[in-house]
Amino acid sequence: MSNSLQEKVLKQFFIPLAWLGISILGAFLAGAVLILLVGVNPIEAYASLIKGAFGSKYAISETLVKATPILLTGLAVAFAYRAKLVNLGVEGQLYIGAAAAAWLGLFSFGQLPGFIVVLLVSLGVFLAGGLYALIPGFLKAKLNVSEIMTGLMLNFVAMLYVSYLVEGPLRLPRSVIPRSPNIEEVAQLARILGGNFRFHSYFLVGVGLAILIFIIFYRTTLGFQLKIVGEGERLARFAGINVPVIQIVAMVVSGGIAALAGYGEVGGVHRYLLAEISPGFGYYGLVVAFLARMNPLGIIVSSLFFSVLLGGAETMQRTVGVPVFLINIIQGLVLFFVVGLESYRRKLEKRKLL
Amino acid sequence: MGVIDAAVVITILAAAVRIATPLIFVSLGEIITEKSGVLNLGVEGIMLMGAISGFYTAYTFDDLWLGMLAGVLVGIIFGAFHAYFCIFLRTDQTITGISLWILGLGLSSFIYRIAFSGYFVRPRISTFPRISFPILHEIPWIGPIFFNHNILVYLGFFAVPIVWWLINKTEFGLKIQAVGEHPKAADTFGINVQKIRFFSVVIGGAFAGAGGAFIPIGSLGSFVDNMTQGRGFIAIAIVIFSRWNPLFAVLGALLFGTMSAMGTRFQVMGIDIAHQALLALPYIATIAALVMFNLSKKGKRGGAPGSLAVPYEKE
Amino acid sequence: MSENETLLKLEGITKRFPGVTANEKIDLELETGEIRCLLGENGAGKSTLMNIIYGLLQPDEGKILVKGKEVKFHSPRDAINHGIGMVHQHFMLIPTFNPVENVVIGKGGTRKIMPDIRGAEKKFVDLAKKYDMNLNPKTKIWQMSVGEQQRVEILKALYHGAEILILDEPTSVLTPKETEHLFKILRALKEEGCSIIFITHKLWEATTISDKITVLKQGKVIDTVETKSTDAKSLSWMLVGRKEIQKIEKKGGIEGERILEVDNVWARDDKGLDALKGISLEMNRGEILGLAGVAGNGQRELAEAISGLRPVTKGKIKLKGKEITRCNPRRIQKMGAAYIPEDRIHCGAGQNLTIKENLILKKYYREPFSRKGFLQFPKISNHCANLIDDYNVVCRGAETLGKQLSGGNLQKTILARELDAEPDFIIAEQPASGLDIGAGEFVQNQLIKSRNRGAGVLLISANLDEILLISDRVAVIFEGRIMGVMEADQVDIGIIGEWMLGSDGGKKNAEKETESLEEEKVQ
Repeated sequence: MSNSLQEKVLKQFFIPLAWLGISILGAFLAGAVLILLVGVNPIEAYASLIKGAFGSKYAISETLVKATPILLTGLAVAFAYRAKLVNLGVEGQLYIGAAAAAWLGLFSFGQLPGFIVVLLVSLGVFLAGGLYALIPGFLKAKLNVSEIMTGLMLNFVAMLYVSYLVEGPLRLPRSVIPRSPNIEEVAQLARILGGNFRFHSYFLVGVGLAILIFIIFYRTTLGFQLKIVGEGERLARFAGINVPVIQIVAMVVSGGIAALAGYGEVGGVHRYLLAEISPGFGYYGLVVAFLARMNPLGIIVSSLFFSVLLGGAETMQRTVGVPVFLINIIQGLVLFFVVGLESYRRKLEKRKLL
Repeated sequence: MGVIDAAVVITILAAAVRIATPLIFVSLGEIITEKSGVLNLGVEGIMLMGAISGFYTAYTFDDLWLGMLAGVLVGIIFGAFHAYFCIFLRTDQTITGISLWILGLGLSSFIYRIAFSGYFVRPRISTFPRISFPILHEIPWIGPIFFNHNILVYLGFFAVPIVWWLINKTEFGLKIQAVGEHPKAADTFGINVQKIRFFSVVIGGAFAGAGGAFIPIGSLGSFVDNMTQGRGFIAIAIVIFSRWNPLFAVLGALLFGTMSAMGTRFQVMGIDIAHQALLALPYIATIAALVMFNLSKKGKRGGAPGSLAVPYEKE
Repeated sequence: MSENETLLKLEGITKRFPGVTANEKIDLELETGEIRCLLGENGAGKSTLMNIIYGLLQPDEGKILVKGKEVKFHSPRDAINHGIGMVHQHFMLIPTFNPVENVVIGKGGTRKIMPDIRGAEKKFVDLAKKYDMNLNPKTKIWQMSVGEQQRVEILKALYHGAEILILDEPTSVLTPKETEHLFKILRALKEEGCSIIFITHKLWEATTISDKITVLKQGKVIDTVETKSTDAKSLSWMLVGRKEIQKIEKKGGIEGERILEVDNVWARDDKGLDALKGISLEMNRGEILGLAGVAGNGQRELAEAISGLRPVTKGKIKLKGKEITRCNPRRIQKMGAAYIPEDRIHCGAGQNLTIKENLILKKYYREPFSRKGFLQFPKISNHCANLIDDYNVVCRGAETLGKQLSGGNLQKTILARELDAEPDFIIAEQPASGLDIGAGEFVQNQLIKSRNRGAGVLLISANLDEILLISDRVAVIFEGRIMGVMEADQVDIGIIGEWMLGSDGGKKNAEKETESLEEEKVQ
């Protein structure tokens, strides 16, 4: 038995990890070529990148701050994908979550203790995002409308809604860049390393959620049902599973998790709502989820990896003059390496079957 | 109507036509791509690459047409890239498209920083001049709205019937439809499914590159980070909205252009309608269209090609 | 006939796939104006051989000669250029095109920018008239009936100058009337000097239409015989490879209580057309009711309607006396119904699920497999290990994926899941199709075991032999109606055959007859 266990660990853990390592290495090499073309020593550039991400307590805090929304949106993507639904609408759900956090955070909560307020706001934010994701979920489950397209469209709607909020009803009077007032202090998320560091409690919430979702996926009947629905609608119906309900649950939970990322930004990072609350965290979430092959624990790792890139990029630009956009290029290339190698792996697998 | 008089309406609609043009380019290309059974979600990235390469070339060589050509060529290269992954490596087309977008997003701004690193003032080019069609531009309403634009706008509209003809009347078009509907049948006909798909995606890439290059060369005169602002995705929405028909795609693009122009105009005029609401309308309309197509009994697939986003593998 | 030249010759064709040799040293000679039947069971290698002739597959060894010259086909286009045309089992037509558009690009195109649609249409219509085929060249393929689509396929091949026409199980989707029409067309083609290869696994078709019959078994040619000088008996001997199919021991009929009542049930197919048009059936415990019929006459819809997977538009279904017409699939499962679907790949088992997951597919939510929403893996593993043993599933452990299993072992996995709970009622849809003889017998034995312990088994099969082998009663379905029911030991093959072809012995209203037959049964 131990033999098969070893084989299982090797197959499910180390081999995918090795493949991923190769992809990342390849992307960095390609990035190095670009850096060389710019006329900079790649080693120097990457060193400054690492230094930018880890060089000081503040740098580490900022890196983790960037990891938080990517981790949450990544988990959101993975949850929906368990039922083979591509939630491309995580970005929009994040915006809705941010908007809900701003609305709720501006309430007066009287004498309620902080953690209860945070819990209540989290719940409200989760519900708001869930309801927003209910639109693509319902349309997919009941009318078989592509959740990819509706999700994408709703991203734009959500962004426009937030832009309306900060320019209209929630605008802080006389703010230059339109923004909302700061949310009530009790509704703000705790800054764990102290007020000077933006690292906040939602990173830990994200890690906790990753573990929770891991357990849901592999240990519960809900996870089993999600997987069966993902395996095919006919099979799931045959197994007696109510497919539309499971699909809607998958999308709603996914949307709720994505919305929490919005609360993290409003409640933990900025303290207020602004029109560009996310530079595309939702799309990064899609990428990290894919990199981790939808494994919730893997997403912790891949989102940290991405945040290191984002966190160190500005330092790299400042010190050696390589534009921050190198990071997007590396991200895009990693993905291409991953999908390319995946196809190569499929080919190998097929040959092994011979 | 108060402040909204005829002149304002004409200004808005003329702007709508201009805004619609890059969308027309991109959605025409995407229709060809998707008709062949490949989904290219990465057109947004291709547009950005078309924009930067078009702008850079036009600026450096002071030749707008050369700029457009560069945009098209880069579109072809990126289209081929997407095609190679989706068709020959059979990768997930959604993920591949998103990768392409992220890559284009990074690469375009990266190139801009490198190419124009020493500039303190944002470099600008003069865009294509307007050409007023003789006689036609004097028709009230129609004239100033449709016949007072630069050459690229006319080209975009002219391409619409051409693409319709290409898809429906030529042999190449029939092959595109065949490999998109039933690749296995096409294979038994002796059609090289992967080749046809490859060319379709490359053509789509060329159109997306042209649409991207249009924005700095035909409209703005400069390059800004992420200047397409999701228009590639809007073009994809238009494709669905149009049920993969080039003639309807024009309507979709014009609808979006009108809403967008109204929003901007009303904002400038201080009219108390949230311009975001107007801007959101096309997206909501697209969702509504998707729902309606799926509700209608006849087209369960909403007119989508039968094998859209399904890789083909010979046995 | 003897002076006819050899049009197509195969020499030692061998084709191997991972794990199987689909064709082994096959020789074949086809003369001009000959109709040749290729007879063999599922998996005998008929389709592989034809795909090789048509250039879709390339042989590992062997030669193909057309009119005495050796040829190598890299794609169907090469085959078409050598006068070979093929009518596939699943039609190879673009559904959104009309016939003319299909024909125009049907040979990989004309290498012109704009094809001459008008000219092609004229040629197409002329050709259709010549063979008395009534087709509208402007109708889209998806709007056509199956028979019409098949005619388009034939015309497409002829249009491109086919002298050798390969038809892969062409009648499996046709009504008897359409089959007749097809045979007429084929004879006309023969008159014109066309050679035809006709693939089938139905004996009577082979003896009706062909000049010569080649019997294929497990990838090898068993024999080629003149149709005139052979009979069904000797052919079936060649086909099965032994004298008589083994009869499985059955206990005497248990006169059990009523288990299933289907009363005037209507349901629609996936296209929204009526597939069941007033089906009525009754079944008791301890019997196997064999439902015979040509595939596509509503069998799948009936199975799905009973198991709750397809909405019933009219009528009533009762299981164990309780109405289940509008119950969801899980309710019906819980009442003791099991369903072994024909489509093992998409419906019966998950390809990317492990055996373990496939085995608990329908009971994961029940104790002891889960408690308070959590799966209990030790219990599940135990249970699965036992099932794998009991049902003899050959695999590399319970973590083996569905797609790594052979068809037989996949089916055993499904059986293990469905039959383990000792259901009172079982629907088995084509349970032995695509399996080798051993696995097929295993499946049939399991069904009989279930019957012997008092379950009612509804066996749906297009294979009449299988039905006659293990059923207690035989019913025939045709175009969504039950044509009639008979006791198995009094079966008159002639009548069954007529029912399967849709002729109801002079009575005009099939529904009425069914009712009267049912009444007789009750009495």
